[in-house]
Amino acid sequence: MLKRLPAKQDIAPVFAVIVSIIYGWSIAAFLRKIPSWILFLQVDEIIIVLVYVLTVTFLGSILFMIFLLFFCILLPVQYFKNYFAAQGALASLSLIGSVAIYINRYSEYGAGFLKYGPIWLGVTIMIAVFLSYLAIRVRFLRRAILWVADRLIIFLYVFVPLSVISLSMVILRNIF
Amino acid sequence: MNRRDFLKLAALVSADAALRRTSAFFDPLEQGEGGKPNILIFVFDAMSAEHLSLHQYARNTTPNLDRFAQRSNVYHSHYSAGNFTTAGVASMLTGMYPWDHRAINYRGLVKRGLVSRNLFNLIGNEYTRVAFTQNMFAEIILSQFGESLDIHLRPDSFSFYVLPAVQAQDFPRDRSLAYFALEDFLGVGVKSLNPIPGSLPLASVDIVRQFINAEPKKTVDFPRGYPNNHSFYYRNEDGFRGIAGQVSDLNNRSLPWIGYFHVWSPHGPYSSQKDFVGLFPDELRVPFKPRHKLSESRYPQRQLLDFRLQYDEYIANVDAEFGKMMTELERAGVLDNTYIIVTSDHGELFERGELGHGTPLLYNPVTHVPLLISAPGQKGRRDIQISTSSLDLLPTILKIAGKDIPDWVEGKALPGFTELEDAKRSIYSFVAKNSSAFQDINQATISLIKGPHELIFYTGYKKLADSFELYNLAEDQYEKENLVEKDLIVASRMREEMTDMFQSTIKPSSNDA
Repeated sequence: MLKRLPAKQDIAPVFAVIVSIIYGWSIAAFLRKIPSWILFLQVDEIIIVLVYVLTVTFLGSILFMIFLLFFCILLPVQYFKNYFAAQGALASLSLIGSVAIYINRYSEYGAGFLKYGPIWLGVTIMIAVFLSYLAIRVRFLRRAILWVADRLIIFLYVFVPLSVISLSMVILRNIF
Repeated sequence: MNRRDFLKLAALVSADAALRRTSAFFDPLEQGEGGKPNILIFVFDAMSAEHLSLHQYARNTTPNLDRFAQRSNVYHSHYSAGNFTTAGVASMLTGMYPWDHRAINYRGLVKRGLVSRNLFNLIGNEYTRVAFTQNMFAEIILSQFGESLDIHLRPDSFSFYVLPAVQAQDFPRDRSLAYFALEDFLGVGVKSLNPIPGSLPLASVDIVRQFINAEPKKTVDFPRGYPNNHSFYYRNEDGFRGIAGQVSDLNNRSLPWIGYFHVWSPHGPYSSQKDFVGLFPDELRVPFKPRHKLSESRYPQRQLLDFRLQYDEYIANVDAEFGKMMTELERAGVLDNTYIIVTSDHGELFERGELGHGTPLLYNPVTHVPLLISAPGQKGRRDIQISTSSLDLLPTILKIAGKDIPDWVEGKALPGFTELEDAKRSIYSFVAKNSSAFQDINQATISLIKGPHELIFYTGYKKLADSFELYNLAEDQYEKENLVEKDLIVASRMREEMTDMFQSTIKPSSNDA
């Protein structure tokens, strides 16, 4: 089964895209939140909150990566594995991007927006599948997304170690 | 024994019995079988004393509290130190004013250096110390006091539907900071505090859960929807029954116990059961008060009257559940050896364009809260008119438990527990939710109750220059006539006291944290 998994150098750019979007959203929201927290939370407490945020974001990113790898194992190699880096990056971009837009709308309209969930999900999956297909067919698109994803790998060097430290801190704080 | 001896003996026995009854409040340690009495603090959230028939409200909202009052001390002029949960609860549990404990913001925390100054720590481990609240603002304060608690129940203990996938309570050793990360930021939380969730994966999980298991809707039994605190849904009957069960269990322990049980109701949404909807068909006559410059809402009077009616119905609903709970506690023998304290953290406002309690205003409906204390075996009612503060609970409870009252405590033992009753005492309420907890107070409303008078001071607001309002509550129950330019002697005296207090004590931030 491991043979069906893509190579590490193909996984890294996909994970970089996932991390960039998920962490980007969380960090932007965190920065928006600071002015209200600063009224009553001390700096060290805000850092601990950030530690929790990084931990949850890290675990969320890994789960999404596992979700993509699961499909890679499940589907025939020519559908997903051969061009995993480009297809995975485009699928991540469309899926997570769509979730971000949905959550933004949900935040505005509340539970009433839930009814659009299934349609939204269906359209999103279709877009993700279509973009993945294009990544196989259109060389320029494949190269463009790989160019972007490769440059995003830099964020992994920052966020992954920080998140591992954060995860350890959360575990330690809740044991001792 | 002749007739004269018999009469002398009878007189002595009666006098002895009378003295014993009186001393029930002054020497509480005599009560209870095992020495120290148990203490149950029952807090209703957002229950204004101004809406209780117990305090002569026109609608019969609280027949069960009225019945409970027949064996209680009833404090008719009891004031919360804050007008929302954070400040109100922190003052109740620390015996300090908000400008000292500094839990002054929405979901604020007690100054870190003062955390040990809490009721549970002071009462010590000779008591089993239990706390429960359905209010998340109170929960994070209780979490700060976690090391002094033996049992800290989860806020969703008696609920049937929980919205967040991951809650702060899942991190029992780090509840308050986990709350800020998970419920106040990452997940789908209370919209007014966290409009956009901070985590795409966690928010997605919350939304999917919500989609699969939809939030409870209105039903025949709950025509206005189920009671909820925006994070979880519950039925009041489950909550009150659950608390009665917990208390009955505690009562079977060998150690004395102190329990803080803080229910969300009658806080909004006012989700009465069907039996209480339409309970008050009368049109209540409430004087119209124009919108205040600092009102944060613009509700028209008609709508405020509708909300007031819903609130009153909900109080009646909650009161009925309270009555059932007291019957269960009585049956379990809890009342024989337990002091029962019933109060609220703040009130609710339906006037001047304002609805609820998220307001910079400090009028009576939002600060005047109920307080009833029933001693073990108490049979009679005692009405106390002297003004008291929520800060007074801590020293009173320490006195009941036979503990010394530390000198930093700003409250005083309540009348009925001390012979030193000061009718001219100054009672303050305070709101400064937009000021920093760590710096000088730069924007606040402060009210001072002294005898029949109430002075309200507004400072630091852009919409309103620093100003005062003065009311005579004995003659003007509805706070309609501002006497600040009419009763110059009282106004001048109280302004001077307020200004001194503000400049010397309230405004400066101390650095002892």
